Amino acid sequence: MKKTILTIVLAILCLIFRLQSQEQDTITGTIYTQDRKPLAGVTIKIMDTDISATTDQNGKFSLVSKTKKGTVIFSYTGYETQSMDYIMGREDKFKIFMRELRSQLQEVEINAGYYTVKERERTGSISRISSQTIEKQPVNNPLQALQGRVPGVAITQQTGLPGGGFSVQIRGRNSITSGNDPLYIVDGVSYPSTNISFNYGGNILGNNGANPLSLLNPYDIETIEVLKDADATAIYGSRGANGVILIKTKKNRTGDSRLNAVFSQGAAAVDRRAELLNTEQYLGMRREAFKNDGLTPTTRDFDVNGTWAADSYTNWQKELIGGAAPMTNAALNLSGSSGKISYLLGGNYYREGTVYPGSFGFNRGGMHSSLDIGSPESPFRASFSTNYSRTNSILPRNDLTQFLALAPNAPDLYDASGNLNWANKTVYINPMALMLRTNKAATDNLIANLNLSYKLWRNLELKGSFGYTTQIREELNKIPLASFAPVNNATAASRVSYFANARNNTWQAEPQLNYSTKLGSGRLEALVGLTFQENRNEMKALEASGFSSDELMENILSAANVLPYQVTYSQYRYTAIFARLNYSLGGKYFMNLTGRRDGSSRFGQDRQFANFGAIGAAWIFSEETLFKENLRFLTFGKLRASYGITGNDQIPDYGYLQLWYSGNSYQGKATVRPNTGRVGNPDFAWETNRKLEAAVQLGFWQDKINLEVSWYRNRSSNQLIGDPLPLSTGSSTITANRPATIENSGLEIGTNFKLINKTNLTWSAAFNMSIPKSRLIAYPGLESSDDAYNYIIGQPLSIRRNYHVNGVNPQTGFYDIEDYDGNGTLDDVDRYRYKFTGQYFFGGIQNSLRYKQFSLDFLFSFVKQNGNNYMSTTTFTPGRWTPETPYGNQLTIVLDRWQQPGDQSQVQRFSTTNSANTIFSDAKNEGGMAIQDASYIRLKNISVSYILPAKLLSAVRIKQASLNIQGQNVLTFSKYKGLDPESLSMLSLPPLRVFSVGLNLTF
Amino acid sequence: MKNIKLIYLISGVIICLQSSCKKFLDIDAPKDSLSAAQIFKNDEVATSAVTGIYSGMANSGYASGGNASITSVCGLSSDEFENYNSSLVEFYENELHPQNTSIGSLYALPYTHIYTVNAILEGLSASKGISATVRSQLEGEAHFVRAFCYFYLVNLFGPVPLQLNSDYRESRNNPRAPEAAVYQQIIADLETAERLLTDTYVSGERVRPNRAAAEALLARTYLYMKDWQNAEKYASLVISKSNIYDLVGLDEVFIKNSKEIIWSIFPSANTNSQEGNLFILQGTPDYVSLRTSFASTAFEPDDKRKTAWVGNYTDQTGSYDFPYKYKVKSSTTISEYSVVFRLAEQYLIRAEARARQNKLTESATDLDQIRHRAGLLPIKNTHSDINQIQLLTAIQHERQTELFAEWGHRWFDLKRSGLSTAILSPLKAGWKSTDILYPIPTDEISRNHQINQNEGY
Repeated sequence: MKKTILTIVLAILCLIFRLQSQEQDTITGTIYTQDRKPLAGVTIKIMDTDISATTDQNGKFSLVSKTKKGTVIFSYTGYETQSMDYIMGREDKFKIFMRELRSQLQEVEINAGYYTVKERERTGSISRISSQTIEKQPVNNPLQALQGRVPGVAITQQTGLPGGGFSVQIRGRNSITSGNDPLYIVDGVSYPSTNISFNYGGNILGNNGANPLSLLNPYDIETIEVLKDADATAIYGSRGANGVILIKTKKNRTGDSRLNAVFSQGAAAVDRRAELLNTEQYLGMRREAFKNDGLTPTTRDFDVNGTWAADSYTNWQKELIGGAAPMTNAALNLSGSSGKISYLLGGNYYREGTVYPGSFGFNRGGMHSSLDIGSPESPFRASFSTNYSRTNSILPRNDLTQFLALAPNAPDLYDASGNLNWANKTVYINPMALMLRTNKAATDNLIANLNLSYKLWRNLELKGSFGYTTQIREELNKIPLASFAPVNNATAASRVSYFANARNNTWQAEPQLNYSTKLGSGRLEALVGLTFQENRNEMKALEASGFSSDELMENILSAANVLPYQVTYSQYRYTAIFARLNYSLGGKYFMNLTGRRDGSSRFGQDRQFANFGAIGAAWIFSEETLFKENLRFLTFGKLRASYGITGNDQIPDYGYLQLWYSGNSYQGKATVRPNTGRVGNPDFAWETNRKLEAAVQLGFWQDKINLEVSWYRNRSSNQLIGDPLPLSTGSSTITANRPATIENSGLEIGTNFKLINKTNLTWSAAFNMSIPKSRLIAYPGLESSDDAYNYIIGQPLSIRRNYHVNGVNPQTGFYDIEDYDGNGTLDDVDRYRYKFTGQYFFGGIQNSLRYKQFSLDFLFSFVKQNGNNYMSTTTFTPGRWTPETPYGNQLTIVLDRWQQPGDQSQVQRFSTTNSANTIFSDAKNEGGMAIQDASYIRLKNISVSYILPAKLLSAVRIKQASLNIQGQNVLTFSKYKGLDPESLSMLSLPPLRVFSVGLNLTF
Repeated sequence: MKNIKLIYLISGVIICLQSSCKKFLDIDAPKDSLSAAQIFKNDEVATSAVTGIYSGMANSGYASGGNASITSVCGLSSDEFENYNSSLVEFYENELHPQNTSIGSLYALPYTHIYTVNAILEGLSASKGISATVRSQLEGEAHFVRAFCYFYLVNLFGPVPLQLNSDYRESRNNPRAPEAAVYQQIIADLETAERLLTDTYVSGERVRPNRAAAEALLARTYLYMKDWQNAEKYASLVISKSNIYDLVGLDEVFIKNSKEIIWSIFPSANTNSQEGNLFILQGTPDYVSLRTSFASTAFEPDDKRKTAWVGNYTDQTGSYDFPYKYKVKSSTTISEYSVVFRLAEQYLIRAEARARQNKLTESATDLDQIRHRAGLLPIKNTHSDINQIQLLTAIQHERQTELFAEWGHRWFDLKRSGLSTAILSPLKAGWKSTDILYPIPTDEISRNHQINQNEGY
């Protein structure tokens, strides 16, 4: 395999340059705009040569030709490219007027992965954001920069901790049990989407763990393209079902030498606070609870029995998560060119603290380089880029947010002499002690990519793309003795450290042939290529104990006992042949066929290969005379549609194999046993997603208003779900592809407006909105499956079946939960109702204003959704508290509780009893009371910048300088009851509000 | 034109590459677990797959000797035990529901072991790396285990599906096979096992089945099939190996590797037998005790087993007898393993088979071997003129007192002699004659429509 690749590379290298010797002569000229102003920066190039030049401030250029005659090409972004033939001596002084393109927007080259397509001509659904948008946001993860900006993409930040988890869904959830992550491709190499952290015993980074994209510096990113429909994703075959996110890092764009430096400094803090009871209200609640129960506080009720002061008050939110997390971002990029070589070299550094007391934080240092050899017209071109970063993070293992509900009169965390305060063993949990349990992680990330291309013929090009990416993570989790409460009687044996090493690497080789030709009166473009890819993922964790002191716990040699704790390993190989055929006619009609034949080692022996494909078509009807003449206000109008099949290969590795695990020893010797919980399934295969899309794109009044409306319907079937087996097979279930089908359909609207476009003042606005709808169409055997009480045919996947809770019973004061089948106990059958827990619609409104050197950008994002409110993560029914679980405080909402017979209330009577707590827990969880409206509007981003006057700068040899103030998650408007409507939890740190001040210099 | 050639060249390369794709997709097996190909690569790992079944048996369920084992639940269903635990009350009252979780595991776990055996047999036959001796040892043990599992399945549940390969696509639709077919398979497997195994205990201790174990189960199976001749034949084969097997003193029978043991299961790490742990009372019972009537009425007056094998615990809540065959409740020093087959049963099998063939004297001699050890006078002295029916009754009674609290012998004896109703209905309020078979678990019936429920459920 590797040999073959090598052969190809060598073959290409042998064929590189054809040397020519020629006579020389000079061509000169001036280039103007249509209103006769000289145009600087225009690229002039002699066709089929590497000779090129750019115009100066006066629009003048000169270049030396080696041949007597030829063709000169004039190109400049935003203007139509022109060409002109010349014969030396006859006409060597050009005067050219460049025509401005009708719309720059329409001419943008969109990256579709294996090919690029002009925005105007695309047949698929692709959204794009560029570095200009990303750089306006003080974010540590590029995913944050996409939030609220891309229709169809729902991104939820699970925690405000740097490096933490995100959930990303493009056009809804397609799979019941398998992965729903999009495919990420960074600089052409597939990049992991899943958690790479060990996270033993804690999920401080959220359910999805450490997010691999946090290893990339957003500043390094040039563009992010999101591919959504079949036309765009079918070329990714079995990996394209959940959409594709293409990330391209920066390259030298302009060709001139420049040094760009950015520096910003800011702080992040928790924005929304929960309204918790103060000491008086809290103790009032506790006393009323005892009174209601006819009980008196026991000797263990330290909060209310007088052990703890009744008049002390600590605002735990302020104390525990009230800090400001400092953040610093610095980056330097040097770019330039010399002859046919252009380069970009950069380094960057990012640091973010936490809002917790103590010194925790996230440090990321990175280097980035990109080298381009050859120009667009050269027969041979090469580009090479590497991106390396190292991220060090030290975080507590426990999220302090969960301790907000400590009793407000709980003792101070430190005593007068600065030691941890256990208040005569009445404190069972001291958050500051838990802060001694740390998670230290260091992650190396390397992404390297080499692209070679060679023009075999005028219109036949051979390309090769070779990539490698690796993430290596070392983690140390430690639980020192000092972190245990004295009441636990911990001993030296309680000290445990976990040492974990994880490694994920992928290599990829993709040779590709591109061909384009005139065919009939249209143009045909074709490409065919191959993919070879291998991914290895391994993790080893050791549990070390028996340390003699807390200080030695980072040294594994100091441990008396070291045991293997966890080992995982998987290998994944993937190969494919893919092709694209694109035909365009008269700049009006476009047809795009893409296909892929995938082979994957994740699939069973008989199912290793699968075919995927799509057809897309577009019609620019505004080019038709009928529309041109009759609808003059309509400057652009396009209809497009696509249909195709993609697959989801985010299924478990080795699912087709019967695996054997270690069993209990026999006669002291190791044994193995088949894992009958997971019987090998030789038919194990991908899940299928059939995508249909229709869209209209309109531009009005010279593109002052642009509108794109897309309708899609994705049907995802062949779902890998548990198929119950008769017990006599030796197992009770097999994971098999079943004809269960999920439909995700929806409407996506994107518009932008150029409201004012004057020299000194511009104002543009953009709006996007997605209205997703999801529905479970079929699930054979649902009633007898484990999912019987999770899903309902005809309803979305995101529902929760619940009991009917008929509010608080006015007589008893407890929640009234209906025993639907009247069998005397609450069981699954009683969960006959359901609530929707997903998003109804979401989107964003962006405004960009520029006045002279000032510019202002702001984005409001909005989500209409249902989600878990504060109740879901409330430990106890109001009134209950125990020293072991001392999170008894409640939101002030509970003051509106039932007090006496006849009261109508939504909050049950205060009580300390276990039975009241069971009712509470049934009502909020299975009863669905914790699900409520969690809609919000958020001022997601605001950015103000000022470009310093050029005159001032020229004195200090600075080309351009700007100052900016940026804010993220600035304001949130919501009726949500709890901490934050995005993270929907009282146990994890919500996304933070960030402000930063920055400087951007170009030398 | 040079370019055209190049296109051909590249297309050729592409075709070659694509055709080698299939090979490219061959990946290493995961390192945190093993694939079948790796298991059956060498003797040691293949052996660990077979011993994995025994460690699974020891751990929990039907063969463990613990509270959900055949020993426990069949003892409750018959007239051996009193019940103190709500999880087992349905067995005690013979009011089983098909959704009872213990019934589920009683049915499922033997099938899990059958699945494992099938996978092992398939793996061994596909493998080339196993030495000939180890191969026949492992295949022999596998066939033995499959027969062992089917023996209990067919006796507990009646007709059951015969699963003889590990492919769920076939086994998921198999109907219940008639009892005769299941017995036929048991015999076939045991004959194979007998042929492949030797009398040697390959791991030193008596914890892996050998040829004698296969013969012991063959003797028992033929006895249950009422093939007296063969029952006698195989029991004789075992009994004749007197250099390996012998009856030992009552207090030594259950000590690990005693000369009486034909096959025992090595207990889970750092424990003695689960039977000892379940039965021996040091406090008010949690699960079972002997029925009060059993200790006082079942034994003849001078029976030493009454003192040697029955213990008593008395506190203010009452007096409780318990089976005291195993002497260790819990200890990290392991002195007792869980006994599955022992020589005494072979004498009783032969006595019964011979009596049925009217070889009364020889039968009585066998029976007296057991009586002698229990300190009882030989039949040939006390009842020299005993007739066939009387002798069979005496054997039946001897089986009750010799084999009580072991592997449900009493429950199966009542069933095969047709005495269940006569003996159990006075003791059990809700007794129905159909209770002699346990119900097929609901999950089996609802997932395979070929499977019907036993009568009475």
